[in-house]
Amino acid sequence: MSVFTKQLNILVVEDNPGDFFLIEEYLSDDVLLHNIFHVRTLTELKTKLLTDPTFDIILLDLSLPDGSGETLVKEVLGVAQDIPVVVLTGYADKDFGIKSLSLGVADYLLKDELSASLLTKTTLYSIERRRINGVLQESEKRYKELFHFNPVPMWVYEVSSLQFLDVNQAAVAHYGYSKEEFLKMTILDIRPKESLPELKKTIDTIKTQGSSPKRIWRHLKKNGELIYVEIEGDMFEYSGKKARLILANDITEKLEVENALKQSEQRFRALVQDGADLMTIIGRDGKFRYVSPNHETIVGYRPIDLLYTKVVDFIHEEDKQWMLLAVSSFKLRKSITVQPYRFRHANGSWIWLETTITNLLNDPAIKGIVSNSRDISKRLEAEKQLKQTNERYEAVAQATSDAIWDCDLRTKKTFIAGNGYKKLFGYPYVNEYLDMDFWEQHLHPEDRDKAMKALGESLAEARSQCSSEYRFLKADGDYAHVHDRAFIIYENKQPVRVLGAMQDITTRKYQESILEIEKEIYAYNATAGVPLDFILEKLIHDIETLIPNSLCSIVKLKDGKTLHHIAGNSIPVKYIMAIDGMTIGPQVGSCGTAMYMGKSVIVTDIENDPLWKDYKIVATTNNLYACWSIPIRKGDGEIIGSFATYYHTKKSPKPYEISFIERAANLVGVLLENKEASEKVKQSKERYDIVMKATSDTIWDLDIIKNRITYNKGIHKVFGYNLDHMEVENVQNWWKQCIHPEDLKKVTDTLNDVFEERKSIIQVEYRFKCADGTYKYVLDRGFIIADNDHNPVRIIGAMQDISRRKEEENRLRLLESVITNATDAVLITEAEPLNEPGPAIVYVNDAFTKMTGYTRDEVIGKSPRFLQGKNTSRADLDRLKTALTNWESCELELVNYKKNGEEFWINLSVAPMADNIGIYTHWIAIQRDITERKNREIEREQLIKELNNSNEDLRHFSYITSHNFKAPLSNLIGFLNLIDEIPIENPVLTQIIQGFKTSTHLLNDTINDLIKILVIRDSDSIALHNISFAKMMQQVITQVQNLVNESDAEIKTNFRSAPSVVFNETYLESILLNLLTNAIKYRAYDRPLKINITTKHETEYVVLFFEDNGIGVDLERHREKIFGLYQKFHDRPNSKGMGLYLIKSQLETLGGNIDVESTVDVGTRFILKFKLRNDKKTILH
Amino acid sequence: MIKKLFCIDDDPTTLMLIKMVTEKASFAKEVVTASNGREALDYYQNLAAQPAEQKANYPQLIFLDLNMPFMNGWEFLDEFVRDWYQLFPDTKVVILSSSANPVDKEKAKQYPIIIGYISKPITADLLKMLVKK
Repeated sequence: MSVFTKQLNILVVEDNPGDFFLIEEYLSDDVLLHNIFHVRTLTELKTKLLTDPTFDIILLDLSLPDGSGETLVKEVLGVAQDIPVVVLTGYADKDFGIKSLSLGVADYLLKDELSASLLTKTTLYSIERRRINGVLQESEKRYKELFHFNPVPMWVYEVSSLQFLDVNQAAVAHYGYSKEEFLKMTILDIRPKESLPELKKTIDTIKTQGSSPKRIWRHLKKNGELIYVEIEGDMFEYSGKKARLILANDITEKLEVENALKQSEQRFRALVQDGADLMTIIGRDGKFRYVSPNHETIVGYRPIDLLYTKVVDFIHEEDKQWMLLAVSSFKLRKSITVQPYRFRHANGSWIWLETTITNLLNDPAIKGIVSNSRDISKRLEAEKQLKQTNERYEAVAQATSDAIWDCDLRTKKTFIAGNGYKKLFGYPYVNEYLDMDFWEQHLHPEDRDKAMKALGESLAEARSQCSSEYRFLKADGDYAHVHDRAFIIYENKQPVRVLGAMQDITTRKYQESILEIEKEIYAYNATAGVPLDFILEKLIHDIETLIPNSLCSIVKLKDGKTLHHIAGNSIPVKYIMAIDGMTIGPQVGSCGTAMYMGKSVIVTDIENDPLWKDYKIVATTNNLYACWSIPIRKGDGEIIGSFATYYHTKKSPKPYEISFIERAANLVGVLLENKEASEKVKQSKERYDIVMKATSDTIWDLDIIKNRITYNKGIHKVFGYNLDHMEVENVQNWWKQCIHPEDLKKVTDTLNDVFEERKSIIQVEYRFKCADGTYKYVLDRGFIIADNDHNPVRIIGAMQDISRRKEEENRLRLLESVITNATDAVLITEAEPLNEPGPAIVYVNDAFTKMTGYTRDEVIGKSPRFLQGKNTSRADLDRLKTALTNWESCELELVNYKKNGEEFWINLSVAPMADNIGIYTHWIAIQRDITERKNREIEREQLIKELNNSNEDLRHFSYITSHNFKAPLSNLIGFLNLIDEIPIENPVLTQIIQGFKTSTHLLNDTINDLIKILVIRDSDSIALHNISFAKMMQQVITQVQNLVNESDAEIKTNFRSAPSVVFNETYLESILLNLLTNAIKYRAYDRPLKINITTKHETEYVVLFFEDNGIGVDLERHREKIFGLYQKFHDRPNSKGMGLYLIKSQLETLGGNIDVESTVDVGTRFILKFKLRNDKKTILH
Repeated sequence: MIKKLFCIDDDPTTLMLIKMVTEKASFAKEVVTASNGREALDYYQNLAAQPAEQKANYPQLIFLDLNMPFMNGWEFLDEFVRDWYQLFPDTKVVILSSSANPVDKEKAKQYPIIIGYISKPITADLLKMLVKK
């Protein structure tokens, strides 16, 4: 009960001073703040209340000197009005205390039981109870006001009995029954009989389900008039009865208009069916041949008036043009209906006709065009009226959707009435008071002061109305523009309430803003020197201000294919870069699709819209989640771009936002077109200027009679001649001298032809000699002037220097012939698009046709991609595309397909071609058929693969066979070793055994060598060391010291420049040993053997030269075979023909090689190259 | 001098040669032979069933050929080490092979039981070196 913050004023009516003292005592015991007033009699009480009505409670003693009991209570209640009265009684009057409650007192207390707390409690309860009652009464009052003063008829009826319980004034006025009459009726009484069964059904539904949908009913007024009403109802409790509150909206007028139209349509249809159409037959000459008699009633002419007059003469001037146009397409079709046109009535007025004409010229019975016409003036008029009525109705409907508010200025409480508030602003419907603050809080910050001030001023000036416009916060966070008309209600000249109607004028506001923007933009556009970019950015800025959180973008459509961002600074640069140049299509985001489809594309959720499937990543990474795009069109409908608004969140447009962006798009269309037009004007002016400046033609004037030619200064400026008076006599000579001998005949022939055929114009191209002896190509155009006998007397001509053009032509022709005759296929395409469908081919040469089988006509306009097929490497194509995207040349080998489906390999080289200002305009591709080479390569690869496989088999095979050789051979040697120790008597046997031994050892060496080779071939890791040549050589010489001594060889070495090599020790030993034994084996017996071994460094190799002065090898014959296996070039003993092969194998295994130079009977020089190894690891290994 | 030498080789000539060489060099008192791995394992199985006295007289050294039918040298070694080495712990093996495959030589290093890899033919000098080992 914290409501009691003020002091209570308690009035005690008590004649007994002792009792009063007690009451005072009790009350003062409590903490409650209060003032006690005391009166002793009823009269005093009345006087007191008249002067001071502000008591919160009255404590009344039941027996006063001037009144007691029931009479007293009634009288007190009468004067106390709203103040709660508590009766104090003696015990004897207890029963009366209870009775007094029914009289209306708040409570009663027995004096004998009186206590401080009881008195306080009762007092407070009474006050609070009264307060709540007050609120209830207020709310009841408010409902009643809303009910009774509502302009729409309303009533309450009891669901069980259908009896009217209450009706409002509007219902009384509308239906014609008085309130008393209504309350005696049931709702069935205002219905026509035929709708009763249906009504009963509806009531049953209401009884079972508690509601029924809004619908239209027919009601009967007291005067018998039938009206159509839209009924909306709600269940509620009325004085404890289950009742329904009904709102009945009369829509008779609206329906009548609709019905009227329907009826008139039907009437017209009936007319048609009854054959009341005007019928005519018109001849081939456009004149009436037959006119139906009903023309007189409808258009005022008798048939005789119209026959053989021209139809067209009766048609309204404005309609003639398109009528003729419509009829011109008539030949193609048998029957057409032309849209309404005006036909002149005999009285001079115009009748609207709708006509169907049928071509029956070929029908022998008719031989004419039959027309059936219908007068539709009335229908058009009805349509027009309907439209107007409809508009009126719309306006009314609009008005009723206002949000109504009611503010009590004393309490600052505001009450929102009706559904308008919910409809307009989306807030839930709250049937309660709101603080005045709520209104202030929902105002747009920028409009708050203005709106408050408007109301304040109205109040200050005591006006009864206040009207203001402001922005009001909606439930969805947007602001609605609101027009608020308020009525101020005064009581005793004090404003007490404000009743307002808020109307959503957002759409209107937007319209106004757009108009404002358009006006401004047009003004800029009309101002010279304001660049288009600025105007577009200004427009975008305005729109972004108007549509909150929008980011605008204008893209332009180039060549009808690609889109290019031209304005919109709010769009992220990264995003612009990603979309710029994109090709439009049916699924290319919003703008690409909008331009492609030619219609608005509203994407409210980029992440989940199929149109953005391929682009959502780039959009969302740039924080763009919705995009509405409207195509920009020129006046003729051509799409030249699109206007888009992006949003950082998913967003659906409001209807007015769309219409707004549409207007902006239109505006941009106008601007761009305007700009284009002005640019075209500028261009054509420039062209004109260029022509003016370029008229450096040499003008000549030939007088045929005098045989004299006169030139203007061009003859000097262009050709360098300094002629006296610019004149030449003896023209034939002059020409012979100046015109190129090869062209002279052509010129004179042309001239003769022209004279013979009496033409007036001559035009010929030839080479004209300059003063410096060089020739210039000229185009000479002359006008021939003849005398009266048609004999030419004079020619005025202009020589134009076309050397450059000619040279260019010649050069082009040369290039053309080169390209045409090239054996490589040449293909030229446009520069773009690189995306689907690919750039179109503009040229192919003959070689292309030969190569692919496609003729020029088959491929021009297509993309070269049709040449590709399933075996064309994707990776290579991607490489090509990357190069093209970067405007780079590119060369690659591809599989292509001929027209007959045959696969072939090409070497493709593509380069961009630029025009004279450096813009890439085309791609030129040169294709060479490399199928044969490719096939060879493929074959070779196959072969190598096969060889590798068989090599592997062979290796395994060798291991097995080598073992099979080796095992018995080992045994042989083992046995021979045993024999050695057995004494043999027979010398022949000794010899035989010696032969055995030699052969066995030779076989063993051979097998071992072969196995070594096998092992070399198979080793993949061979230990490498840094080996000193000198050391190794010494080791080798020691091994074969006997042989060296025997042969008396002189061995010189010089390893200073390359003392060591990283190589395998065993191999190097084997190599040097083989070379040394070879040198000894193949020494020349007639001279002492000299061996010279040196080393040196080369870039990648250590080179070892091993020279001898032996018998040499005939390299002419043997070079190919010298390092082969089992090659023997001499019949020296112990020659197995494997040494050099082994050396070569060992060197090559480690990346080196061997070469030989040799002269027969002079010597041999081996050049061994050991691959240098920089890898330290390998060296350490 | 070795008490008992076990020669395992599929080639009877080789076996004969080894016998002759070892006798000549007085390398072993007794030489037993088997012509493949399977046979050699049978020998050990049989030996294991003999009385302890005879069992104790098992071959100290095996000359083992690698390329043999039925069961090659490696297969024999694996089974011998697995099944019999514990019973005849002083056994040593010398590979006596004519294989040129370098893989075999590498593989031999992985068996501690192998003390030598000799390319055929076996000679008296080689036997002398073995005795030293």
